[in-house]
Amino acid sequence: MAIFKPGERHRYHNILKRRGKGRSITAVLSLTAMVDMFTVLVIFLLQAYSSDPVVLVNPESINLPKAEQTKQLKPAAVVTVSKENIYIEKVQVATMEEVRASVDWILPRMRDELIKLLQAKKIEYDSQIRNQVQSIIGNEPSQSPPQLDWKKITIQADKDVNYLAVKKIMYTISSAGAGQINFAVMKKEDAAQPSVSE
Amino acid sequence: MAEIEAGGSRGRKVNVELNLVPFIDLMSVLITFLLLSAVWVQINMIQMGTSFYSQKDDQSPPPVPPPFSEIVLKVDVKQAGYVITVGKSVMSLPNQGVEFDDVGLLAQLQKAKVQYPDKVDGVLSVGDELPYERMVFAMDLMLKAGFPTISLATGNP
Repeated sequence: MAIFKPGERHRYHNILKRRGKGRSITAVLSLTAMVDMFTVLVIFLLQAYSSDPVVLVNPESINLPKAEQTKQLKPAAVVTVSKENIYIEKVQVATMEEVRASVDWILPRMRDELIKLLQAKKIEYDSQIRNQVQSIIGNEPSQSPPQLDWKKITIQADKDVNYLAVKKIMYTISSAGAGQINFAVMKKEDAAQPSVSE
Repeated sequence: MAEIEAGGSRGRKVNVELNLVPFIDLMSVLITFLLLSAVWVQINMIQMGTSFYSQKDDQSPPPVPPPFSEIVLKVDVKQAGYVITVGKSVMSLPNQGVEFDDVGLLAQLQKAKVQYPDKVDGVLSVGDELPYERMVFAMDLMLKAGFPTISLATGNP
């Protein structure tokens, strides 16, 4: 569509008008359909827009298990278990070979990394508490509330990972001093009968 | 362009045209932003109940046992199928073909919930050789039946 300066102009302009003899042809491009489509698209995208700041990152392609009784993901330290590796916040801490070969249930490198991470989170939490107290005493505008769940851990593991490996990982997490463990899952829509994929 | 022709039979016709260009610009920018920032894969979480059997913390207060915690509710997930223990009764739910009897387990858990409506805790034990997905399925069924405080047993079923 040709671009014209906005303003008053006649409906049947002469851009496609034949010069000389013959009947004039007028092409009017209707934008109504496009505007309708844009509006519907914007409404759909606004509905699908998630303001939830918690986004899990998959270092490797992980197929998460599906569940119906789920809750919204909360901010927590993330332990990722793929078919080959184990990561804590994107840092590789062990391989599945090591986990399978380990007779002891505690994985030392993973535990050390987790202790470091939890200590960092504790320091951050303490400083947030201090700032909060100072802002209350000084009547300053309140900052964001401190993250109370610094001990929480979210495990995002591939659905086909051996359960013994997951047990060892959970045991290591627990021995590092972490609190509640949550499992990242994909939301399954309610079905009449529970389905199982084997 | 959307336009409205106004004016009667007499006098000059007034063509009032609504300029849609800024509106389309705005829509284009908004759609681009929303498409880029959209999260298509919604990841949720399944919560393991804070068990009073779990590791004790010095700072946290001593845990209060949930009601009817003395009545055992245990689900064993084995290669051959489920075994559910409610109080003193033990019931096996063998696999149906290659699939686990999820419907049967849910029915038994719901029956236990009817029997002990205030009970909220349960123990889940999964075979080491099974995939992690099995644990999530069993936890999901326990949560569905109304037992949100789930403890995972470290031993084999």
